[in-house]
Amino acid sequence: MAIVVNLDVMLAKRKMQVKELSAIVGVSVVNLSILKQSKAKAIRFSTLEAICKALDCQPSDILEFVEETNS
Amino acid sequence: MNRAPLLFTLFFVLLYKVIGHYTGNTWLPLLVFVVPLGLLIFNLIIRKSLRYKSWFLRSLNFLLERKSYSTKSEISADLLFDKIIEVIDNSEFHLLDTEKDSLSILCGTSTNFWTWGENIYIQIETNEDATASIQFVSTTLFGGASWKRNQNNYESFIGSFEASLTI
Repeated sequence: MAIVVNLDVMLAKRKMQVKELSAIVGVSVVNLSILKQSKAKAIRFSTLEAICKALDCQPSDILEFVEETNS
Repeated sequence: MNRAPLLFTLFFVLLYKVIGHYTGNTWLPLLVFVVPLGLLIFNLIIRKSLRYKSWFLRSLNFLLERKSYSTKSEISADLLFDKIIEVIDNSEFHLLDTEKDSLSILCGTSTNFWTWGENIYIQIETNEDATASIQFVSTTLFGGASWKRNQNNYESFIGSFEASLTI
């Protein structure tokens, strides 16, 4: 996966549980877990905005582009 | 085409009346209809439990039509189980039964004027490459033809599942 979701890193930095974030942003725990594992197909700007607001961070703290190496 | 089940029912009611009229018996034609009617009532009673899954999915049960589909997902099996339940809760299907240990889900469509409804059995299995397989079987509750409802159920489920992956 070229786009890596660093939600777990930000959650750890803010000492916040997924359940807590779920209650703040209004996205289910299941969906946040899927997002955390980088298994989601897409993320809405509204979701990204809500997560950034809740974690007091920038989108670049959540999403990262990692070039895939062909081995 | 969707109205065919109703037309068949009306045809059989008419047939019942005709047989009754010409034979002069009411119990004889009634006897002919008792078996399928009993089967329908039996299926409607047991449809809500995963315990009777094998009854609905048995190939010997030729009075039901079933369609099987399978797909793969990169989401882990445990998470997928919760995700599918969430998808069902937000769709036209009704969640009927679940078994977390065996990762089995049973949902169904409603009985309405045109259909007795269908049961949908979803089985999640973990693959060796850490992905998960979703086995989807849609079966009628009565009748050897689903009039494409089984296929429509799968397409509707996959559509809802894919859409839900945009978070």
